[in-house]
Amino acid sequence: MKNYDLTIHEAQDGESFRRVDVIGCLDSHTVVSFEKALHGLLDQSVNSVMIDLSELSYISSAGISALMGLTHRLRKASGELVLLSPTDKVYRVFRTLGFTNIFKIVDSEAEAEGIFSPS
Amino acid sequence: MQTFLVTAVVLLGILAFHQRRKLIAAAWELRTREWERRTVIGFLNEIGGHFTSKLDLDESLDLVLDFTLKATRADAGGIFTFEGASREVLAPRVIKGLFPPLHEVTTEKLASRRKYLEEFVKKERIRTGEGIIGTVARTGQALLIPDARCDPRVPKAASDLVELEGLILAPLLIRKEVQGVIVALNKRDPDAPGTTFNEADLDLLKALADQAAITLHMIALYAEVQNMQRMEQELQVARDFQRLLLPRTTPNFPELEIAGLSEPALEVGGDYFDFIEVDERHLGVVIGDVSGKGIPGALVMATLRTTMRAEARGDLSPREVLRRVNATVTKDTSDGTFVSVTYGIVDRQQGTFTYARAGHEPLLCTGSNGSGPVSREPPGMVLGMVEGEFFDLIEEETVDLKSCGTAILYTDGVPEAMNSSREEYGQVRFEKVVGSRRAESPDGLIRAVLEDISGFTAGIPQHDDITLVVLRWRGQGER
Repeated sequence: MKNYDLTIHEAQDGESFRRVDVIGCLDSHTVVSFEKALHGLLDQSVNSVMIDLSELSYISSAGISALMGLTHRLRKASGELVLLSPTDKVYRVFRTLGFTNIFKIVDSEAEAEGIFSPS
Repeated sequence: MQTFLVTAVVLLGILAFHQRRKLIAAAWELRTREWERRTVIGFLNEIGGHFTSKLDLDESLDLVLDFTLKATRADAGGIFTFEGASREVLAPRVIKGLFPPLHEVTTEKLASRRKYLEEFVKKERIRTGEGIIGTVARTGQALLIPDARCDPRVPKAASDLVELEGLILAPLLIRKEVQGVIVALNKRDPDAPGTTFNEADLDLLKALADQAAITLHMIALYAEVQNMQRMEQELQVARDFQRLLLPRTTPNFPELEIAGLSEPALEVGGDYFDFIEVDERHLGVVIGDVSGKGIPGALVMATLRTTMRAEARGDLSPREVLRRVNATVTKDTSDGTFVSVTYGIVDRQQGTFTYARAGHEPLLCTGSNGSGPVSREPPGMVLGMVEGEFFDLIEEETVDLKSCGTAILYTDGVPEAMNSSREEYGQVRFEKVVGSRRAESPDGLIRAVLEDISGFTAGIPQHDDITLVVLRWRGQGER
């Protein structure tokens, strides 16, 4: 597995949110480029973002700070950040640090859809 | 019979009077303590806000003195620090208000012209041991002089020059070594005109001086680093500073064995632990991990340590203490830095440990013979992120130290220690060694874990701090 990679998917017709895949390690080294990319996306008035964490193998406190920063910024703009399918290990880190109450964590895209456009 | 009744009534009256006085004294003590606590926290907030904008030593000294004068309601004051490395001469760093020379000087030059006073005092140098400022610098003992006019330690010229009334002086101490002296002159309390400094004022000055010393020390170190602009130096400074914040001794009780150890990593850090005397019967135990590393992390750690110490005194609810500490830390950390902390209180009579976990690693109980180690993880989120409803989900729980066996608090540096293949030491191996060595003393158990980790990492330098605090109940009977 690559140490770190990030893909921002193009906006799809009819999709209410932008999808981002992050792969590998999110630590104090890789977080700089991660934040730059995500904040760049938010600068384009995107307020609904889903980050696929299913291939994120490790997250450090710096990575969690970055996710928290994004959550704050999106909620201020009445938007939302949704985290899709974190691995057990990453989920355990969220839970230990108490972030499972704050982050919106989902298991499927359908579930994310429900958060972004509640019927 | 009548005499007896009269005596009894008088005695009861005296008793009631004494009880009432005791009650009033206790209430007063509580109020004074609360006021002192709030002032120290106010100071931290003000200084904390300053940190995020600029780190300039002279400006910070100015700020510290300003705050101190406001808090002690003093009319004038000054901060003196050593000049040069010899620690023989003190120079004024900042002076505010009408501040006379407090050692013997030839005052002819002054000719009681107040407008030259500040200029004069700023040029004066004081030898260690000379006058009251030099004495405080030499002895490291704070000094209260309620009435300077009739105190032989204060030169008469000084009290004549500015109508000197009361004085309080406290040393700026870093690890018991004097770095300087802070002085406050003439109390001007609008709520109580005509009063002079008392013991409570001196206590407050001492508490503020403690904070000021650590703050100034840190800024001085940081200024050094800024000049050098070298990453390696910054890390060294942060490490030194971190070491300064850790307890040098472990409290010792007949009924309770305690051990704590923090092994800083070569590169980054952020771990901290502390022991706090909550009251005579209760001992507070803190372990934490700051997410920011280097100097910014060390600054957050310093705020955390002082806030914890101020908030923990006299409060038996770890949850409430952490809620208040969270409010302070959240104000001080704006850049996403957070801190995971477990704070617990040992009741040395009951043998219980009541704790709350703010996003920190679980508490590990080794259990008694036959049962495996048990990880306990009551809900609670890290400090420094949010206040209010999300943070308030934190819960406290009480474990009986007798059935817990040995209680182990640790940081993520333990399970996340890595070998050369980038594999983690892991929770399973950690719990296994803890289970098999449960009969060890707390010290022995920490050594066993560290040995096992270094066996696993086989010489690879650790990438994160490793910290362990271990408690074992010995029991009342074995005193």
